[in-house]
Amino acid sequence: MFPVLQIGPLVLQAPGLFLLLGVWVGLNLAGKRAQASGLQSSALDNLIMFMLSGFLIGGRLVFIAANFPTFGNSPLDIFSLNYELFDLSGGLASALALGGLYGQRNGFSLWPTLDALTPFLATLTLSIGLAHLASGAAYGEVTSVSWAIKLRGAMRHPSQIYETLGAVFILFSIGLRKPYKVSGVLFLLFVSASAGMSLFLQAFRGDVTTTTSGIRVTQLAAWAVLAAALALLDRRLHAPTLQSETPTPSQDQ
Amino acid sequence: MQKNQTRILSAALLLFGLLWIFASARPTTSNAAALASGPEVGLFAPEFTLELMSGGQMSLAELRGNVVVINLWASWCGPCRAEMPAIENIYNEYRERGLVVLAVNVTAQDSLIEAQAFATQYGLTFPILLDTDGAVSYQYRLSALPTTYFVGRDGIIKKINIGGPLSETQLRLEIEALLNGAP
Repeated sequence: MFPVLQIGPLVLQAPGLFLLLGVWVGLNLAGKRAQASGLQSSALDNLIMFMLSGFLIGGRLVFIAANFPTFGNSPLDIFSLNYELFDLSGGLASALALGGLYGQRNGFSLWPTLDALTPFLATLTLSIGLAHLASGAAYGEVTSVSWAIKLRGAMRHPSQIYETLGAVFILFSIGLRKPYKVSGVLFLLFVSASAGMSLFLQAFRGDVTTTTSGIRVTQLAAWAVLAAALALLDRRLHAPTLQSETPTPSQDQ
Repeated sequence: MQKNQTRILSAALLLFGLLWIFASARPTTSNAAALASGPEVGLFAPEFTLELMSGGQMSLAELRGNVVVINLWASWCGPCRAEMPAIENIYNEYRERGLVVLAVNVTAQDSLIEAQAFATQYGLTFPILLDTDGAVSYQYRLSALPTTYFVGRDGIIKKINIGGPLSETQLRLEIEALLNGAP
């Protein structure tokens, strides 16, 4: 694990670097694949940048709103680069809201757009795995298997490596595929595979919240996402009226 | 693939998922790992006794019952310089409510004279400990400066911040949460 890269007085957070790298590579991959989904790559880049901006600004604003009296003592911390002063769910909600608004105003069709975003999301998932590997977060359950690694004072499952390998598999088997004839199928396959992988691998995580009976909450959440994605996939694949859907927005010139 | 086949496959996947969730549930017995000591969140902060810059010694063990912030720093470290005024402000604001700041100077990688000048320059009033042989840095697996450990009243590490500088708001939020938490 290498949480930071220290170059003299400069301390770089390795997980942050992996995430930035993931965004950059993901943007490039999504741009290249956009055309196959009937979108202009520049339009998709704009959508992603809007969503990323919404994520960063919205996450900070929600955090400030939730802790307003504390910021009153040091108001300049509103502009602090400290990533701890951030609300993840607020950021996600803002990103979705802004992305939805941008997409609606620019005439994006939902499913082709989600298909086009799939390479970006798959790359981002891989970069999150690498960020966990760098930071030592998302660590594994204590185990005696021969490939266990020593971490946090015990021999543990290398859960970050499992996560990274799973993300690599999904990226190459689904994330980099061309979209299917029926729009939305690629995206829903990606979500199903990611949820299934998470459901399986969470069993090896040591940093989990459990119910009183020991059930891992994250596994329940992953199961619910998997069920929803499979149900939507079934609708996309078998609803005859949707078979003929073709993307309409922003066709390349 | 036929409609029914995909539905059967989906149902089988979901059923397997449910079985896996129950099969991989954690035993609900007491967690022995929680009793261990180590420089990780959820474990007891490793004990140490160090010389104070002002003379005498101080042990982490004698501070049990207080919220303790252990900050590892060096005088040549830019982010350490940037965050130290915020730590001093927070210490003065919360010391009467049970906050203790232990500023552990990584003296093995620093100069005692420079460290003393640093403490004077910033008017630091909290205890400054000297890790002259690097034993505590090793014990806490120091990978970068500054590194800050937030220890609850129960002696368990609640949060680790590697790198810096910490903002006053983040310090205030972490310490408020620890001071208001269960002992």
